[in-house]
Amino acid sequence: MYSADMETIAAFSTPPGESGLAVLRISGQQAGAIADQLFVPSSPRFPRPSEMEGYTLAHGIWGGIDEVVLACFRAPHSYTGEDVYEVSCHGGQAVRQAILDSVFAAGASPAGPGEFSRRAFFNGKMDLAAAEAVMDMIGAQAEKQAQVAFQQLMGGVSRMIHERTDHLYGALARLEMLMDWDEEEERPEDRQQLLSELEESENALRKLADSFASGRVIREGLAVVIAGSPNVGKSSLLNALSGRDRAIVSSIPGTTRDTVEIDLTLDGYLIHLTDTAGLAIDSPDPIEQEGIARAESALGGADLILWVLSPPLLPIHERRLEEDRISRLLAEGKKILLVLGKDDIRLTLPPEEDPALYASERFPDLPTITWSERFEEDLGRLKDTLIGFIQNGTLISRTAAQIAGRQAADPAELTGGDGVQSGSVSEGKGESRSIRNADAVASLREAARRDDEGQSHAVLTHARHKACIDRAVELVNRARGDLLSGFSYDLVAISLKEALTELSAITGDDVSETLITKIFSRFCIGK
Amino acid sequence: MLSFEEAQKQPHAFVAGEADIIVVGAGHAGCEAALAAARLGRRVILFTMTLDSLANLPCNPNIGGTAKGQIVREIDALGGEMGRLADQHMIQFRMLNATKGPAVMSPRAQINRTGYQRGMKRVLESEPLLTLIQQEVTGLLIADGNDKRIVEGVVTATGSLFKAPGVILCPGTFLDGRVIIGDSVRSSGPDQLAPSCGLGDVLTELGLPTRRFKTGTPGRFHRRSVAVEQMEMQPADGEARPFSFEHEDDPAWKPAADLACYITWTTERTKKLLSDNIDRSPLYSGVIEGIGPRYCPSIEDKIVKFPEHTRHHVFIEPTGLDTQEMYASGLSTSMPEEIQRAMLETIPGMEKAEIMRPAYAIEYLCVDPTILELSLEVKGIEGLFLAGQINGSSGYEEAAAQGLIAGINAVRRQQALEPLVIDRSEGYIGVLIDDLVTKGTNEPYRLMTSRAEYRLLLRQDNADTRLSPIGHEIGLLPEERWQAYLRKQQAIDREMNRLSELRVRKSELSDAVLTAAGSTPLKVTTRMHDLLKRPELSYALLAPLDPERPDLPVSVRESVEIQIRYEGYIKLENDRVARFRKLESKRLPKEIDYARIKGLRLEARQKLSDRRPESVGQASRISGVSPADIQVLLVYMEQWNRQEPGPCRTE
Ligand SMILES: Nc1nc2c(ncn2[C@@H]2O[C@H](COP(=O)(O)OP(=O)(O)OP(=O)(O)O)[C@@H](O)[C@H]2O)c(=O)[nH]1
Ligand SMILES: [Mg+2]
Repeated sequence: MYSADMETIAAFSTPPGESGLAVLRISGQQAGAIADQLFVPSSPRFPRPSEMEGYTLAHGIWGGIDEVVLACFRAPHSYTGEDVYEVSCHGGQAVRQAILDSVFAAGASPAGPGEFSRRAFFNGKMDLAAAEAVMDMIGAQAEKQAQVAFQQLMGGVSRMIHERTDHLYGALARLEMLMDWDEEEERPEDRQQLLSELEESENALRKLADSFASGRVIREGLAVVIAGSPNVGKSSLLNALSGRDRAIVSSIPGTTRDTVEIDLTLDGYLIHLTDTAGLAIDSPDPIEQEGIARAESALGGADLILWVLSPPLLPIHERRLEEDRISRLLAEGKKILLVLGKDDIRLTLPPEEDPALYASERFPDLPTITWSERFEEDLGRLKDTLIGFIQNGTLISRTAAQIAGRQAADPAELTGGDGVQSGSVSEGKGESRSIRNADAVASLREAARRDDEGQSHAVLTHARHKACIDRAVELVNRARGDLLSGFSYDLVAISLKEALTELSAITGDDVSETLITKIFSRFCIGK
Repeated sequence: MLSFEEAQKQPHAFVAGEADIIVVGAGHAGCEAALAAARLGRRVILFTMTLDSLANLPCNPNIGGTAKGQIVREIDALGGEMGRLADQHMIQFRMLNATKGPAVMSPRAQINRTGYQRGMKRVLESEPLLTLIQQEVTGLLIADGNDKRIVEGVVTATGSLFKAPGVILCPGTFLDGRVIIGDSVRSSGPDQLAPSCGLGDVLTELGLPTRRFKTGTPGRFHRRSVAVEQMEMQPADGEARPFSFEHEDDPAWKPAADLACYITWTTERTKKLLSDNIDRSPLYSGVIEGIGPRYCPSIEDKIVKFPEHTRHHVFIEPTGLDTQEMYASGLSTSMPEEIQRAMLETIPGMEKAEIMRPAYAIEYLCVDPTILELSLEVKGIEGLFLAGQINGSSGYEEAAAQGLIAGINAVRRQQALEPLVIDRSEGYIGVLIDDLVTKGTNEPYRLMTSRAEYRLLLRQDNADTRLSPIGHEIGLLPEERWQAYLRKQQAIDREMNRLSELRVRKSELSDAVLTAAGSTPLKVTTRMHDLLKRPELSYALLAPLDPERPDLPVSVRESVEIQIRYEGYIKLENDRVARFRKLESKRLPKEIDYARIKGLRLEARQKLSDRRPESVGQASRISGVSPADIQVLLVYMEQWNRQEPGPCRTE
């Protein structure tokens, strides 16, 4: 058996989306232990599945996250021929992600491309004829996962990972330099320096881990606040996102006077959306003033601000005041997505009246997106951007300058639609177990053609990245502990190299080569 | 290219000799190759351009260092020569990194250069099956077999034919060598020795991809002209340790001398001089085309690449006992002589240095090593092996290791035995050869400990544990050495057992000993084995608590201590090795048609067809082959095995 088969793997075997139910499959020796650890049966009448032979069903609570049904298939009576546990849970993305994270935290590894089928083949659950289909499946899934990973990485995650892992490479490069090139005995100041570099690396990685959909956002939802000057289309935006006529819309500036809140779910993620009163300058109206005060307080609690900027441009002094406001929010560490509203009108304007051109001068670095309630595709794009933000803390978008140039879409642009998630159909867990070889081959072929075993690549890729970063943090922390307790450099280096190897699963780095290049570029080496 | 039969039919053809194995070049690779083959019972001819300069150390006058010291120990553990000779001609010993952990502790010795050369000549001359011949080899005899070519011998510059079914090429930096000093470019090998000029074309004719690499060496200066008393002295270690396991714990062994090295620094003036004249450096003027190593930059390179450094180390090292020449490590350069002289005036202690040999850069031809099998045989040319710098490596030790393996495998090829492949978990030799053959290299390749995945297992202290059983099995390690090895292992086991049973009670004495060592006193009775694991304690420090401790040789004590102290991490590494071996043991049959394997990405298909890796593990290290491609390969192999049981079962 292939060595990695000692590991227990997990992935969802149902397509993503808001479908009612999702099925997580866990396969391998540790499947039972993981289920025992995370699953609390709701009724004592049901035996714990791990104590049973063959096929068992039980229901209860999974990791405190969701009420689930657990099905257990004991080896060899399962799809893969190993112990398999299937968790049927609610289908929302947030629940899936939380469950997947809990399974990985308990010791399972994310399933590789086609891995369930490959294990089934290796364990004699399929005959020779299935081999080619399995290979096809691996190839197709790998390609799909690479695409998804690429898309996720495009959105600044890659740059962020590289920036954050750069510290770690730097620290290990120093350590390796001391071992391979320094030739002298250890100096206390080197150990001190390494300690502080590792502390920095660990902090950087922790931040990185935190930027991935944090438990809080999944559990409590993301607070999104819409802000901007009067009449720019804020309330229309809230209505469009929530799909309801929640706020009053009118052509009269100052229509919204109080904050308007609504909860909605996007791909299973909970979002608290708040519309605010237009931030008029010097309004004499006390009601409007109170509205503005409330808007300010809503902004204070925002995880993300959608700042709407629509034609016509404000008078120059008001523009400056708006700019100040935005700068202040940025200085407070707020995340802002600039929404260039009423895009339908904007496109008809001469350049000097184009808010995009103005924004490109005043906010060249702000992530920016165009929006019109009249363009159908804009809504999908905006939603994808929000989901991307929840999942990995980055806003995939263009800059105002790119938009002002009215260029064709930049390749680094929005992830566009949900190509990733469409068209994947589950193998169906009932069938997959019972099908005989000929059927198995046909169904595998079909699945390979469709691209997958029914996994949600986006969720899995995301969870895999998070798992890698979590392990890397742990390893750097261990290295730091070892360094503190006086362990020798060679031991400290083992954990650090392992941490970088974990991260390389995301970045695709050749750790050893990258490290050597780092050593030579940072340190003047050689005699 | 002619076959032996065809060459023989040429007018005035003269068959001057015949052997089982011919080794071309008597540098560190060639000497090890020839000795190994002869000791394994083959008749060997070793060709050298001049008998007066074999086993030369044309660059740094030392052997060992980080990763390199480990590899010398490995060569010795397998039954090679380098360690024994280095021990005899050692004039300074240092254990590098003694405080940085056992994985990176590395022995290094300054060597009496001419003594080493004469010593190697004596060893070669006294090997019964080995013939040493001074002649330049300029051609190969190659027959066309059905699906591959077969080497049949060599042709020398005088036109003589030598017949042999095995040929090992070890031409070092002599292959189409060009020595560069400023504007002066001459066709030459190192140390004014003649370059090897015919073989380069032969490689091209064989269709082997070649390229030019570059390296360099600093000048040599007369001892009386170097003011070492103004410099910081770097003495030898108090206790010298031999490279060879044969000399370990031998009370009669000691180094030939304990000389010191000296440290000085370049100055701002050096920097200014070199920057002002950078246009005169052939590196920057474009005269040098070859790719130089990043780890061995010339002084002008260091100044250009690290302008923020105001000074650079210079180590003044003795080069022997019968010479006044001193080596100046750190001053490698290809600047014109004028600048070299001016540069010396800017370095404290070197102001009046007499240049006996100027510094130079050397460019030479080498082969892309990915055309080799892991045995070091050229793919598709039966019996032709390459070893040393021709494979893109650098360093005496790296060359010697390849020579040893090529020598062994040239013999095994003739005996129809499986080639000897040391894997990455068994030795630096394995890391070195696998890196070269599987990944290739874009610059002269130097071993570094950071290249080893299982560094904690590849230690200098346990090279014998790792490799002597292999040396014994293939018949290269002499019987006395094997018996000594077995005795040492027994002693280690016995002491390990004793320590794990020995209990230390809390007592006034134990409190005092532990407190004195900066450790916490015992709360309960503790096994000595566990006490040893505290980072602040050591075997030596705990002696007062162990009155019955036997008097053991240093090598045994060292092994015991490391194995106990690092037990946890060693176990983790062993687990990783077990996983690594699983993929290594999955052999890929030669006849696989990668183009037809579905699910492999295009790049992987091309790379795999091109390289034809020997195992799934090796395939996984080829750049451009992804983890998913490996999964596909595994399924393919499983399918293959189920179809035709036998040829390619997992071992
Ligand atoms: N052309 C065009 N008009 C829009 C768009 N979005 C909103 N509008 C119009 O702009 C006007 C103002 O819209 P609201 O959504 O009420 O604007 P608001 O920012 O909430 O205004 P206040 O609450 O007054 O601050 C209405 O007449 C909308 O119909 C759009 O995308 N394109
Ligand atoms: Mg409104």
